[in-house]
This record gives sequence, C-alpha cells and structure tokens, in this order.
Amino acid sequence: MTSTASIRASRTGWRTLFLKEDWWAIWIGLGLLAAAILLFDAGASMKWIAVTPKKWHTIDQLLFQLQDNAGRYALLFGLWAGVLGIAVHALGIDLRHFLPAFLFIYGVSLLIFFLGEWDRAHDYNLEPPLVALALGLVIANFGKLPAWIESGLRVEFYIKTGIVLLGATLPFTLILWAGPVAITQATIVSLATFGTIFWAGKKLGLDRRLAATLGAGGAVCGVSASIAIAGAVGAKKEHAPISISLVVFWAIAMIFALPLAARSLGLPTGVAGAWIGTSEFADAAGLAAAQAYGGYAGNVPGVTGNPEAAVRAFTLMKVIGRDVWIGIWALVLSVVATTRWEQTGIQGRAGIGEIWRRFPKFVIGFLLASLAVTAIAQSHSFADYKNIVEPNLVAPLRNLRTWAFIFCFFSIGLTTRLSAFTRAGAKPFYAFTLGVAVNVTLGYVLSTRVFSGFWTALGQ
Amino acid sequence: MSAAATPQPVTPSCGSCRCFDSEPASVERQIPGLRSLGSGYSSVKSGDGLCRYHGRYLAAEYRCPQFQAGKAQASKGWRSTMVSRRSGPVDTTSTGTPQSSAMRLR
Repeated sequence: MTSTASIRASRTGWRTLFLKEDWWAIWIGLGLLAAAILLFDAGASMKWIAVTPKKWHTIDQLLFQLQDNAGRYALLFGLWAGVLGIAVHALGIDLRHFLPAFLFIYGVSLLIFFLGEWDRAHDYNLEPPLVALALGLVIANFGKLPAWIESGLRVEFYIKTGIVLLGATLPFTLILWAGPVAITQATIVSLATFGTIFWAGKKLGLDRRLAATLGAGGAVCGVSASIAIAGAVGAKKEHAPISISLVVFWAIAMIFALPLAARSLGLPTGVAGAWIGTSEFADAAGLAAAQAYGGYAGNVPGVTGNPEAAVRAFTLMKVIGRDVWIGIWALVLSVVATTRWEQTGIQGRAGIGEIWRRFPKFVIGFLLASLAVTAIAQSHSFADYKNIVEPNLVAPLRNLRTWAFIFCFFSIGLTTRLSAFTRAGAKPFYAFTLGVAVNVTLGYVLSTRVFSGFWTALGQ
Repeated sequence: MSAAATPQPVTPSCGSCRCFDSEPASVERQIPGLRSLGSGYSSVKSGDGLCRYHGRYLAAEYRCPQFQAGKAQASKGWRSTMVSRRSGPVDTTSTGTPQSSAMRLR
C-alpha cells in the first residue's frame, strides 16, 4: 500500500471515531443517555447528579441552595471533567491545561446559571446565554487571559455534545413532521444568501474562491462552512480568516439583535426559533439566541409558546435544514473550482466521498438520541410519560444539555476578539453584509408569513 | 516499450506532503477566529490543511507537481501516532510567508 493510500485508509478507518470531536460528542451524549436509561430502568434517575439552580429571591436563599447542593455540584463537575477530559486527551489536548481551564469555565457557568434563576433576572434581561456571552467578551477583550485557559475553550465540542443531548428531548416524530418544512425553508434561504454574496463578491472584484467561502459561511453553517469550502475550493490562506471574521461578527451581532427584534414583534417561540435558525450563522450563536428567546416565554408579556419550542425550531432549521448539506456544497463547489475557475497549479480530485467526509457526524448522535427516547416514550401512556418518564429520564438530560450550552456560550465570548473584525476588509464586508440583509429578510418572511402557522403550531 | 505505454507516475496527494500542515491545533493557531465558532477538530474540516508552498488552504486530496515526501514523525505514544496518521505530516516549524517557506523548502 502506498503512503497516500495508507493515510487515506487510516483516515477513513476506525481511528477517525476517536480523532474528531463530532464522534466524541456522540460518545459522550449517547453514553450519558445510556446511563440515564439504565438508571431509569432500575427505578432510579440521573436527576441527583444533573443538578441545576432553582429560583431564588434573596442572597440567603442563593447561599442555602449552594451549600445544600455543594456535593452534587462537585460531583457534576467530576462527571463533566471526566468525560470531556477523556475526549480532549484523545484529541491531543494537554489535560494539565484543560482541567484547570474547565474548572474555571464550570465555576463561572455555575454563577451565570444561578444569576439566570434570580426571580428578577428577566426584568434586567439577564438571560444566561446572553450573560455568558457578554461576560466572556468583556473578559477576553478588556482583560488578559492566561494561555492555559485556551485549552478549555472548546466552543464546538460543547455545543455538539449539547445538541446530541438535545436529541433526547426532541421526539423523533417531530423531526419527521417538521424536517421537510425546515429543509424547504432553509434551502430557499441558503441558495438566495449564497447567490447574493457570491454575486456581490464577484461584482466587487473578489477572488471567486473567497466569494464562495464567504457565501457558504453566510448560507450554510458559518465558520464550519467557511473552513470546509475554503479547503474544498483550495482558497488562499487568508480567505478563510476573512470569512470567519465576518461570520463571527454578524453571528455575535445576531445573538443580541434577533431575540430583541423577535421580542419587539411579539413572535411566538416556535416562529422566532425558526427565524433564528434560518438567519443565524453558527450553531452555537443561534442556540444562544434561541435559548435566550425561549426564556422570555411566560416571563415577558407578548411572548407566547412553549419555552422549548424556540430551541427545537432552531435546531430543526439549522441542523437538519442547513448543516447536514455542507458535504454537498463542498463537492459541488470543489468540482466547479477545479473545472471552471482559474487554475492555481494544484489539482483537485473531489469525489462523492466528500459528502460523507464532511458530514457533521454529531447529527447522527442527535438522531439516535431522539429515536431512543421516542421509543421509550412509545411504551408508556401519556400520563406515565408526563409523571414518570419526563421527570426521571428526560429532564435530567435536558439539565445536562443546558450545562453544555452554557459552557459553550461562555467560551464563545472568551474566544472572540473584537479587534479581529477589522481584518476582513471593506469589499468582503459589503458582499457579506448584503447577504445578511437578504438572509434576515427572507428568513423573517418565510418564518412569519409563509410557514407561520406551522412554526406556531410547533410551539404549542 | 513505447513512451506512450509507459505508466505516468502518480503524484501523491497533499495529505502526505511535507509542505502540508493539517494538524488541528496548528490549523487553529494559523487561522485566527477558527476556535471562536468553529474548530480544527470537526468533521467538516476533514483532513484539510495549510500548504506552505502555495499559501493555500487545501483538502488533503489535492495534488501538485511540487510534492515533497513528508518527514518521518517521532512516535510520542498512541495518540500522537493516530493524529499523525490521520492528518498527514505534522510540522511545527515556523511557517513564515508562503514565499519564504517555498524558498526554504527548495
């Protein structure tokens, strides 16, 4: 076997299952799900360790909660540090740096979580996702972080783990029911956004490979799409960072802007989640916005619907409607770049395998988790599901998911350098921003007009 | 045997070239912002990496006439062996500009 063949074989072999964070997100998410199911079958529950703060009014109540549950919070830290530590060690990240960094992230996340449970938190817009993000941004941009903290800032890993756990709280029947609509809406917006950015980029005289990288970043899955398409088309080294800077800039802006706009328009949670899923640029950023909006339900006048609906609609739209198609985008653009665009002295060899190689594998875990819990739910009556399965099996997994998301939201802030936004340059900024305008407008029209009834029903 | 019948040598792909760096941590260092809402360890990145010769970010399956066989890696245990096999050659030396790197490699 030649060295190239050997590399290819090992890349596609079983080792890949332990070398990509997508797979580790599956192992961790499904592992926690399996443990929860085993405990549930034995008549116990994982809820003791999956502890979350409860509503509080006075500082005394807060301190009492902390003191009363100190052991549970310590054990929860041990659980997360253990499973995440195994994964990052296999990925080649130094555990001596990761563990103290994760302790810092866990400690701050705990404080943010408690702040979000203050009974007046909504009066001051202290939604945990937004607080985590804002606090991280302030620390990273106005303070100085020790280098070892970097090892713990695994935004994508936390969000993927959270999404796999989210699968356990999302009925598979809902995915089957809503999936086609999500794919239809997302496809319309993705094609329009990519076309706009690519066309504007070409008109402004940008390299086609840069225009394609920008277009995919805006249309498909943000930073992940930027990096995937940059590699597929053989972009210049500086193209991916330009696209990433713009994606991060607009994704951070949209975390605050979309929930604010949806709130002022009084959109139901399902509709707002669908809009955020269509018009946000990254999974992590979108989940922050969707979770923040879900928190408004029942707390902010005019916001109706189930709090979970925002996250559910977002996930269906973003993960099922947009993320899973990145391999096809990469394959098509790679073939076009090789056969139609200016030659670079490098030969491309894209094949159908590109679709699987770039497939966001964590989606498999998300679907499997949904299937498993749906199968368990089917064997119980509705009353039993509400009184037994939900509190003892689903709720603890939802709590763990919330923890994973807060780790992620805080990490987004800590890894975002505002000074990096100026690197992109004017022309890429104009092209991308035009795409943002099309994306947000089209996403709003489709979510609130064309498919409004559908997304509203999802929230009930 | 005629020249036409002589099989042309197939250039190995970029994944095994010494100019190609696809090691996730290294890619994250060299692409600012990647860790903010993305990752060098994700599936969508596949085996892509930075080519110091051409100054491009490429899929490991690309090929070019300037291919240079990769350097042997010192084993640092099962984990580093696995990473190296998956990612192709891992080079931790300073990259410099594409031009200076190309000159150095020549």
